[in-house]
Parts: sequence; structure tokens; C-alpha cells
Amino acid sequence: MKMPEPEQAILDQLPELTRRLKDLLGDQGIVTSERGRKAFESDALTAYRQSPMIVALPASTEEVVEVLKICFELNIKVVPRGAGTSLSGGALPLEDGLTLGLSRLNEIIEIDFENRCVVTQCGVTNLAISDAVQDNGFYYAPDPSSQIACTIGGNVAENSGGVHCLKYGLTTNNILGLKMVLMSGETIELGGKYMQESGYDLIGLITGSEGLLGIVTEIIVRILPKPNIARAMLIGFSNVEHAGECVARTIASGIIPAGMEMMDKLALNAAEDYCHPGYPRDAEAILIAEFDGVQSEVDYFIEQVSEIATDLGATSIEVSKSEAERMNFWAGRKAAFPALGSISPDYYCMDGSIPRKKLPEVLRQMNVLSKKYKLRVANVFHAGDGNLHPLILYDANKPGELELAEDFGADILRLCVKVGGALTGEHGVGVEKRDLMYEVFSEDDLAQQERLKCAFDPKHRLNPGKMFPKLHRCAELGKMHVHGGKLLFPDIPRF
Amino acid sequence: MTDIFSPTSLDQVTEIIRDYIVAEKSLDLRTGGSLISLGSKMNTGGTMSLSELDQIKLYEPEELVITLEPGVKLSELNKVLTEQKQELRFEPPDLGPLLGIEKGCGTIGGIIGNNLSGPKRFMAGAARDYVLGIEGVSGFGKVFKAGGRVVKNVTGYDVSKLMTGSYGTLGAITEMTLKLSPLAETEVTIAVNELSDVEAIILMAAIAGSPFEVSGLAHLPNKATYVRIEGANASIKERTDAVLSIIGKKSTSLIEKEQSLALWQNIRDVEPLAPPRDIPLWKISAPATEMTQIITGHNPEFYYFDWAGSQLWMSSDQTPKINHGAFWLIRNTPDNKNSLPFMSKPDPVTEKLQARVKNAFDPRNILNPGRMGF
Repeated sequence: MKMPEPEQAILDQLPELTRRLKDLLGDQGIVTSERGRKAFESDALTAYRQSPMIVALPASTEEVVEVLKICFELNIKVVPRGAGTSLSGGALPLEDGLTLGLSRLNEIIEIDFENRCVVTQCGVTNLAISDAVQDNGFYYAPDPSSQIACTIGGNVAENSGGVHCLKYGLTTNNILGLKMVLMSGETIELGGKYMQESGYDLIGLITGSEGLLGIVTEIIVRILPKPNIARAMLIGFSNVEHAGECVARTIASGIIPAGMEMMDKLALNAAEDYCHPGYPRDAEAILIAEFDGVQSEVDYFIEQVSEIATDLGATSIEVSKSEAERMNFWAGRKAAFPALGSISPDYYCMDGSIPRKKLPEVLRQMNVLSKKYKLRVANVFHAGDGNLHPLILYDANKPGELELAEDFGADILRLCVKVGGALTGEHGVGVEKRDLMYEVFSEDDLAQQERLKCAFDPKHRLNPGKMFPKLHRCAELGKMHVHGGKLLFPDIPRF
Repeated sequence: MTDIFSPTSLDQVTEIIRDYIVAEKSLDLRTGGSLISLGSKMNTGGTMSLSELDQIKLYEPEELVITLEPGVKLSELNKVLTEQKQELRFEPPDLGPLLGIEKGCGTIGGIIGNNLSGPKRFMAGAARDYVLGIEGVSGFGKVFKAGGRVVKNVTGYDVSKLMTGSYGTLGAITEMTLKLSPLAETEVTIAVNELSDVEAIILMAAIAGSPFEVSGLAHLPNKATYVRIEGANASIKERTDAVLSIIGKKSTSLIEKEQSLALWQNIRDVEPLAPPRDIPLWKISAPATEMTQIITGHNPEFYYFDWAGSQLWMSSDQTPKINHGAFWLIRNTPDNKNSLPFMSKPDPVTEKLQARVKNAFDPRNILNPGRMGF
């Protein structure tokens, strides 16, 4: 994995940049010491590390504007960062880049129950939004596993999902408006406390753009009324394929659970050792299915799914009888990553997405790969929406094992793409999957996406080195050549 | 006399666009054309209709996805989906009759190109929320794709959403993959009588903020305020009772399944405002709490609210005066076609950004030039 070469011209500007940022933000708003900068050297994809050239910590949209104006004038690269929980290296710093930490923009600006939305700054955590509205019976639906720490701004950048997005959608389906500062320092406001905006759907484009188009400083999110009741089922199967079939039949029968998760034997036993949720240790796979709504509907769905599971030879079916029991079913799933961390020195979390019915095939192939690479793999799976999280267990202290794990991971993602799935379901491309983009897209597909990047940031100052495997000059991308009555398509030169 | 093309393959679409780039002529890009009156008037060198790209390429009911070409008629699509007890949950409207065209002519290409959504929008999302992937041909004469056919996919920019509602100004959409939903087993509508606009908006907010997942909230002045409840047979009574208890002592009546279906189709297709045709018809999306102010400002004779009060259909000779939100001119009177704007304008910085986005797809401005007002 190669990042863009540091630009000497930028490194030379550091004293001037430092002086101007200090004037603007004061000592508490910048980090310049080697030790201080080291704290920002990676996000949750810890395999990659790089200390940033400098860190700026603005506390308002106005300060973000001023920081970007300075960077724009001095041609400095900018890497935005929320809470640093990205699993794809989206916030990996650059040696010649300023890391723009946005965690100080942490105020909820307005709660509007009548229009069912919250206006918030980008550094507020995902969970804090739900906490702020829960007493009035509302919540914010997307719930990534990192929701206690991750910021809503980061969620917008990555279009985060979570276990409940099967029924309630991803971040992009729950955003009504954005305030964004462009690299030039200009500010735009899109959408508002209403459902449809005129013009192009820039909110849709910006959500999931991984910090390459602008700095989102304020967000209007939709909040939903909390369901009356929620109950979960814990279903054990003696083989993984039947568990997969149970998911497929449930969805095909017209039932959309609030969440439907699968864990394989390795993952469920690790979770059982770690926090004792009472999972059936002898099962090859478990499903956790949650239903929410009104009593009669929840009961009805549970009955239906019980029948489907029984037909498929489920070895155990439990239904939560209390809120505590429901939370307990989830506890093991939510602790799956640390649980696996406790049985292996390191793990590498993948994020492929596949058509549901391809699950058995993909799991079979994954076992073949596991044998080939001689590395164990545990599977935690948003089964309802086809989003796989294989965790490859390895030991970084053994020479070559990290590289082996990365190669194994890349093979898994190629497999997902081959069966009609996606390279990344919810973690983003970042640096991690950047070089695999050609598995999904042609040169033309990516050129079109890069032209969009150029519309927002023609000098490639925002988060360069992420998402796109190659960087092309905007002027070249925008050219069309007609010669002798024909349209010519020359190769586009790269930087 | 301008050229009219009806390509039958992706290659032909590409070829026509390339020819027009070389000839420096612009194209009126449409599917069936039943929604072409939405948008500013264009002067183009030719017309390309995608209505003959009309195949369903892949339909996997168990995966809840469908891949299809733009020319597939909505009437045909609905038939195919209903057989499998599925639907497009954003309720694509049929605006044909409203625009003076017969029923059932609309295509999925028109719906996606215009990002049109029906009454469920406030709880189930808009057309754009159901587009998983797209293939198109840009104003560079290049084929490109984005997204895919799985629900969860954050690989690259979400160009599918950007293309949805771009009125054919960014490219010709030649194929799209949409997310489907199971059809509810049954539905019932509660009609609440004799509410003023203010009372209706307060009630609709209270019901939308309750956990009973109602799927329609519309207020037709001098008729009734309608609350639609959909779901499993097993739960419909419990939810109806719960909603009735929120409504309280007001006068209500129940509308059972068949009539309920017809009622919401009527609301979806804007039939209540089909006549009068001599006043321009506007669609306004704004905060529900600001709607009565808009009504006071215009004092229209014909109007109604959908989307739990956050969408207003209004007949008015004047351009809507709104503090927040967006509007579209859905139907004009024939005589003053150009004197009213087609849609609300963003701030100047956003406007320039929109122009750069257009430029990123179509630098020579040959695809539906000016249709969105820029």
C-alpha cells in the first residue's frame, strides 16, 4: 500500500502554517509536538500508521472555514478525522498533511420533535443523539457497533450501517440536511427539516464520500419513534447452510426483521468465553433475529420464523422474555470483535457484501482459502442484508503473517465481488480497499467518479490517497478530443 | 424537424451520444416522455427516447432486487411485482392523467429520472433510497456504472443517488437495480373529519411521532385527514386501535382495504388537483411546521398536504414564497410556460457547485440542456 509522495513544497510551508493556525486557534487548537501528533497516527485500522505533519482542532464551523482557507492558500493537504474509528484507514494521516480533528464540534444545536429531526454538529457521537431524544420516545436508527465513540460526521463520511439498517436503512437514508465547507473555504447548506431538496442530490453524493469532497460540520438527522416492544430470537443450527437458508426464507416470506445476525462456531464460542451470553456452544452457527413494533406483530413474526427454523432442523430456539434477556442475546454479538481479539493476538476485519443466497457458497470457499493460507477465520455476519464480517485471526509478531492475512482478506473480497456482491458493505474503501477498486470498476467508471471529486476539490487537497487507486489530473479528466469527425479517448496521464 | 432516435441497445445509445458530441448538437433525453413537461423548456437538435430499452434483466424475489431498463412501464412492473407479493415501497406515482396523458404510460426511467415518490415517502424514503445501482452513458460518450445489486454497498461515491432526480442532464440511464419490499398483507385508512389545516398538521405530527408505523398521512381540506395503516393481518387491529386512541374524541370513519387502496392511489397521483387546469400547480417540500404560514401567504383555493404535512400540493399563479424548503412547478397553464421557474434555486455557491457537477458528466452541455434551469 503506497501513499502519495510527500510534497516538499508543503513541508516547507509548515512554519508559516503553524504560525497562522496558532493565531487562529490558540495553543489548545493545534498539536505540533511529536508525541502529540503520534496520538493521531492511525484510526481503527491499526495496521497502517503515519504521524500527521500537524493537527488542527477547530471548535466551530467558522474555525473550520478559516483553517481550510489557510490550507487552500498554502496548498496544504487536509485529512479529516472524527473519532478515528474508521476500519478502512479513512483517517490515516499523511506525512505532508494536516489532520483536521473535528471532535470539538460536539454540540447538539436543536432538537425538533414536531418535524422529527435533530440538528447537530459533526463531532457529536452517534449514541449521544439517541440519548438526547430518548426521554421523548425517539431514537436515531443507524447503530454502528462503534456508536458509543464514533461521530455522526464520521457516519456521514462513511455512510455507516449497523445491525438495525436491515429495516431502518443506512446513514444516507436518515439524513435530511448538511452544512459543508468546501476545500476553498466556501460553505454550502443542503436540505433541511424537510424531505426533498431541489437540484442534484448532493446530500446523497456527499454521504459516503469518505472525506474527499468537503468537511461536513452540521447535520440534520431524522429521528424515529422508538418501537413499543422489541424481542429477539436466538436460534442454533447444526450447519451453517441451514442458518443461511433460514435467513433467506424469512426475508422471502415477506418478513423484514429489525436485525438479523449470524455468528459461526468460532465466533460464538469466543463470545461465550468472553461474556457468557448463553450461546449454544455445540451449534455450528447461531442466528439472532430481532423484531420490533407492536405486540401482535412481533408475536406473529416470531411464530413464523420459529416455524421456518424448525422446518430447517434448528437445534435450539429461544425467544427473549425480558429486556434483560434480549440485551443478553445481543451482548455476545456486540462483543464479538473484542472476544475474538482475546483468542488471537491480532485479527483483520473484512467487510464484504453478497447476495444472501450466495452465503453457503461463499462460506465454503472461505474455508478452502482458510486452509490455503493456514489462518483461521471467524464469521460475524449482518445476515439479513448480506453484509459479511469475516475476521481473519493472525499474529503480527510472526514475520509475514500480516501480509498473509491481507492477501487472504483480498481474496475474500474478490470472492464477494465474483458472486455479485460488493467490496465494502459499510466500512468504506479508505486506504485498505483502494487498490482493489479495479475488481469492481472499470477505468471509465472510476474516471467518472474522479471527475466528481474534481468538481469539489480540483487540486486533490482533501484526503488524497484514499478511495482512488490512481490520481489523475482534473484538467486531463475533463478533456474530450474530437479528431476527423471522431471522438478520441486518449489514455489519461496520471500525477 | 429534429431527429428522433429510439435506440434498442446500450451500444446504440453510446453511438448516438458520441455522434451528437462530434456534431456539437444537443439531445432531448427522455424515456416514454410522459413527464417531459416537468422541467424548463429546451431547444435541442434531436430527441432520444429510451422507451424501447424495456427489459427486466433480472428479478430475484428472494433477494428483494430487480434490475431493469428504463423503458419498463410502471403498469407492467407493478403486475410482475404484485404476483410475488412485492412492491416499490416509495410508491411511484402515475402523473400521466394530471399532465393530460392517459393512465399507465409512465416508465420506471421517468420515475427515477425525476425522483418521484408517493405518500409513503415520510416513513419509507424516496425513490433515491431504493436505487442500488445504475449504468449510464455520460456526455463524454462513455459508459459508466455505479453501485451494484446488494443493499449494503459503500464502494465508491453513491453516483446512483446523484443520477436519481437529475432529469437526464447527467447521462442516459440505461439500466438500474432497485431494492424491493414485501407487500403488506392488508391496509385500512382512518378518516378524521372536520379538522382545520392547523389541527390536521398537529395531529399528523403526533401520529408520525408514534410507534405505530403508519404509512400514509394526508390532509385534504374540506374532505378529511387520512391515516393509512398497513401490515400483517395479525397486527392491523392493534395498531388501528392505538392510532384511534391518539386521535381521541374527534369524528372518524374507517375505510376498508379496496377503498383505501383507491384513495391513496388518488392522493399519490395528485388527482384531487387534476382540475383546475387554468392555475399553475406546485409541489412544495418544506417543514410541516411552516406549511400553514405558506398557505396564509398564498391563500390558495386548491391545495392538499401529504407526507405527514411536509409536502404541499398547491394551485397558485405565483411562485411559492417559502422560508425553508424546495418547490417544483408540476403543471403550468399553456400560455405562460416560461414566466415561472421550474424549481427553487439554491444559494449561489451551491448553484456553482451544481454546475460543476453537471460539467463533470456533460462538459459540452448536450444532454437535456437547461431542463433543470441551468
